[in-house]
Amino acid sequence: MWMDLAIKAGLAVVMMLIVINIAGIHSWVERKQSAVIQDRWGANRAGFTLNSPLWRWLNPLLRPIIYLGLFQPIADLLKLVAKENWSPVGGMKWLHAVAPFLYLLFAFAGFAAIPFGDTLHVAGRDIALQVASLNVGFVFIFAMAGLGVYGIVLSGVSSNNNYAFLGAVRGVSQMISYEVTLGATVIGIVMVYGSLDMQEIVRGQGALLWGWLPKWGVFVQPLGCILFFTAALAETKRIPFDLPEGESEIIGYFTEYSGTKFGMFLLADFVETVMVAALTTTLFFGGWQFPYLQASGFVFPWGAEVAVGHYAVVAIQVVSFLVKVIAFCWLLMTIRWTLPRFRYDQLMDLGWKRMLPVSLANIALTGLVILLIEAL
Amino acid sequence: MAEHLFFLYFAVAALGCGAAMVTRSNLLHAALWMLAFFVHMAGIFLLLNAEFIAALQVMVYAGAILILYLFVIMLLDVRELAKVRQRHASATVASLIAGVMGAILVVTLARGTFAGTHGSATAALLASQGNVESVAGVLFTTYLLPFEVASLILLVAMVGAILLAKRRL
Repeated sequence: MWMDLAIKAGLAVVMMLIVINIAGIHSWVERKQSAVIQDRWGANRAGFTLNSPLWRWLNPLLRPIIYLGLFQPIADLLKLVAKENWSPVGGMKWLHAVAPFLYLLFAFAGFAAIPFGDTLHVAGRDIALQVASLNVGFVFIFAMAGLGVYGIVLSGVSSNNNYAFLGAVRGVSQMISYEVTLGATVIGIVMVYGSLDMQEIVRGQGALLWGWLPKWGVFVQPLGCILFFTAALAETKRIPFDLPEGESEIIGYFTEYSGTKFGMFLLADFVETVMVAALTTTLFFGGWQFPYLQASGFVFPWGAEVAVGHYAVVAIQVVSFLVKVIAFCWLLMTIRWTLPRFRYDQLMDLGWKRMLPVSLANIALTGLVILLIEAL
Repeated sequence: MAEHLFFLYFAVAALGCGAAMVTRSNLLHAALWMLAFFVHMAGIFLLLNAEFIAALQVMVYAGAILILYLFVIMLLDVRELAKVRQRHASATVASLIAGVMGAILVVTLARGTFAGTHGSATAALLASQGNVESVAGVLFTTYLLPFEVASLILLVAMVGAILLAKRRL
């Protein structure tokens, strides 16, 4: 029993490290990718040179790191941590401190149900590469995402600032509106794969359509995939859906935050971006599945087979999952630096009058097609 | 043993959160205690092997209904409200009635026909069938009519809310 607990704790640490590292490197990617898109150099100054004669030879090695701006995240972090811990005059001090904590906590919690590999057999044990093997995984993730709203409400209300308050109102209504569409699009996936368990959904995507096309969610639910990705983009509250935050001009719910507490909001935003990438990967792009890779090795549709050892198969699966997640992070980043912002009425129109009806129609269509296939 | 300890914790903490919720004069604090209460209720559902109900408890009550409450609370001046005198003249009568009703409820639960009875869903059945599957199986066969009636009521409530809020459609 203690061994099982230790394994689960180890898996939790692995998942946490994956998420926090991908999210942390986002602050560097954001600087550099925005620079590439806007034809600038981006961060290339932060760093240090060594003057002592003993270590001077290291300077040429440091220079490319400085030019790439890789010291910038460290400088950012130091700046955030070193700033004064301040709370607004006339605000509610305790709630003001709790809000970013709640927001970050629930952003992380959802990852417990995301599988990053199939079962690993080691020393006579079967270890499912998923922190919590939940029968209701998808509902759990949505529950955690829903609780994230508390951080926004509390930060807006406790700040004693009308701009922050209005930002929180915008944020909550936006998140609630797009959660409806988000849930409705995943229903189609649940209908196709017949489970709410994320691991089962990924396993279902290992099958082949017509003997050659991987049965990934994007191929059986193309409409659902686009709707899900758009709604999830709105949930992250980044451009083009950044009306609740709008750092540069309309001012959002975390205006009255500085230092580490602001850093927590920033990190939570990046964690949410990783969450959207991980969810899109898991639900629509096969999760840890690699095309034609079975438990025994590669089985190609033209009949060729290449045997691969068990550990290598698991390694390919985990790497496949990570590559897909990072690719979606890149796509989200590109969208964020390409599109302009919506107007608020356009945002609500898109959510309620366009995306929700289409996603409901998608459910009906999926049901019809499944019935037709079963009848034939 | 561990299960009993967990139940004890969840039950005591849920009661504590509930008590804190009704006694806070700051509505925001009350809402947060209510959130803690919902999460502890979900913990009790988990101990009963009802994973699906636990997840729905958090998603629907904590993630949707309480958020709507908070939305209303946000638009009020919480601190002015906290200064308002909370004790009403009829508080004694009201608490007396509430006490009697509570006692009736406890006695009915302890003595009634369903005290100590168990449904057909055992832990082994849930493990073999899957949690969602067993709920869905019962919901869409035995209790299909109540389920449809409930969805119709919700639809009516939704249409009514839209009509009330938006007179010119």
